[in-house]
Amino acid sequence: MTARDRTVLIVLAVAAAIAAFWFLAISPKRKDADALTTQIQTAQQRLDVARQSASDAAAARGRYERDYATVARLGKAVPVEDDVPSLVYQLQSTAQANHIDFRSIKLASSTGAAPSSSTSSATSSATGASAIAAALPPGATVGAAGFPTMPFTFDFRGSYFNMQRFLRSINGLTAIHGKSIDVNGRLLTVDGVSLAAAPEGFPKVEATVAATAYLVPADEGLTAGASPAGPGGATATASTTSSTSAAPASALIGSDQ
Amino acid sequence: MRAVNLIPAEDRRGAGGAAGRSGGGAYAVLGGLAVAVAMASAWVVTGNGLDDKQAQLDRISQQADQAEAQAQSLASYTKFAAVRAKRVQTVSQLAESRFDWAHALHEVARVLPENAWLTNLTATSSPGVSVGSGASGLRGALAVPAIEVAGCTTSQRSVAKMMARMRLIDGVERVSLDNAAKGDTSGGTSTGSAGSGDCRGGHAQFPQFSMVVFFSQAAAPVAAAPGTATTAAAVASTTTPAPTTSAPASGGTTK
Repeated sequence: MTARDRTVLIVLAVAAAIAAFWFLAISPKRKDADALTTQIQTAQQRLDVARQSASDAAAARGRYERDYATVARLGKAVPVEDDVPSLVYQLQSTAQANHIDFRSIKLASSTGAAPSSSTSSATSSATGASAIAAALPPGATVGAAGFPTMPFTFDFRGSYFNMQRFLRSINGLTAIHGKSIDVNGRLLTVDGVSLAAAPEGFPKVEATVAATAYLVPADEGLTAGASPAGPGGATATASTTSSTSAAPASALIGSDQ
Repeated sequence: MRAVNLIPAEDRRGAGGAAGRSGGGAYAVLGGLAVAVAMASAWVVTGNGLDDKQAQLDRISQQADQAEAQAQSLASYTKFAAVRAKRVQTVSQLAESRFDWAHALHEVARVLPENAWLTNLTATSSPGVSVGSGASGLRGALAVPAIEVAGCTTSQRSVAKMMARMRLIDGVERVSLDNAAKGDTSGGTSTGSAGSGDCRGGHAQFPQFSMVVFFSQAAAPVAAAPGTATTAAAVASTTTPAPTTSAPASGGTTK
């Protein structure tokens, strides 16, 4: 074996050793390092999401009292029960304030044929929701907006212009002012109005008003199980604002988050 | 004469070539040591990097667990906030989607000609709504809010004027005439019976009309109109109701 052969062998041996070291020792560690880098990125994303969720949750806890008050006040506009006594009281008060004679109220339909375009597809969204439908008050159907609806027909008598003001007042029971909801009473959608001369003649007119009232889904409840103490607290608060709203106080509700 | 090197061969300078007398073994040992040091360094550096990453992963995972636990403990607040937002949004949408019939009635009173009077007015937000008397066939033509008006005026020209005036109402898309017919003349008086809703007041030449005023869907959003009472009073003084003498037994006029 010549000196040159020895040199070649030594170089090859060193190269083989380096290659073996690389592939057997370093390369697995580098793969582990790459895997850890990926895991770190995933964990970092998870941490970011968790921190955002925690931040949102903390913010939600901070404004809980305001949110609870908002939901409770919205119960005046959209109660959990049909709350017809409150509705009659509000209509009578509004009619009286506008010099209108409130003659009659009638539940328009109990077959699910909602009168308005906004509620005409009510039953289509209620497929398979027989249990929910069974929990609804008689005459109510599930509307397109997800709220159960109750179509009513009212008869009034008064002058044309008083009737116009009365219709404006009905809309004003729950009205939107900018980003706020002004809740003075039930949310009613007037689907139709028919005016005809009253028996005593002009200027008295008889008005038949078809309107839709809305309810909170029964399975959801007025406050979704929350109480003033906390969201997971007592659940007996649903009736506090739904059945005692005969004389509703005006409430402005901001729609901001 | 030939020179002769008398120094022994092993003592001469450069004996053994570049490898020296060890035959390059020293270089091989040094090279091997260098390679070993380099490999050890690479091993240590890689291992330390791995340990650092593992520690970082553990730290981040722990922080994520804590944040998730914190969020989970407050999840009910987040859920309630979502309920609140959804309910506010739904109520807002329902309230904003209402058609402002009060404004529409105000507009009808504003544009009604002096020589026209109505016996019936039916306003519906869609053709499917049934309220009051039966709807005309025209009402179903467009699935938009509409007002069906029926009444009388003094001439067919006035019917045309009535239609033109109805188009002045805010948000009106179309005014369609259902019919406009004079009474069966017999000596110039109407033959309509008292209970038929004839509003001609005995004037057979007065046409009785029926028309449908269609609104665009987005017209007349519900909004508070300040000064409503003043406006309404002004309208009342400028519009002329039906002559009381023409009021039939069935009800006369509404405006």
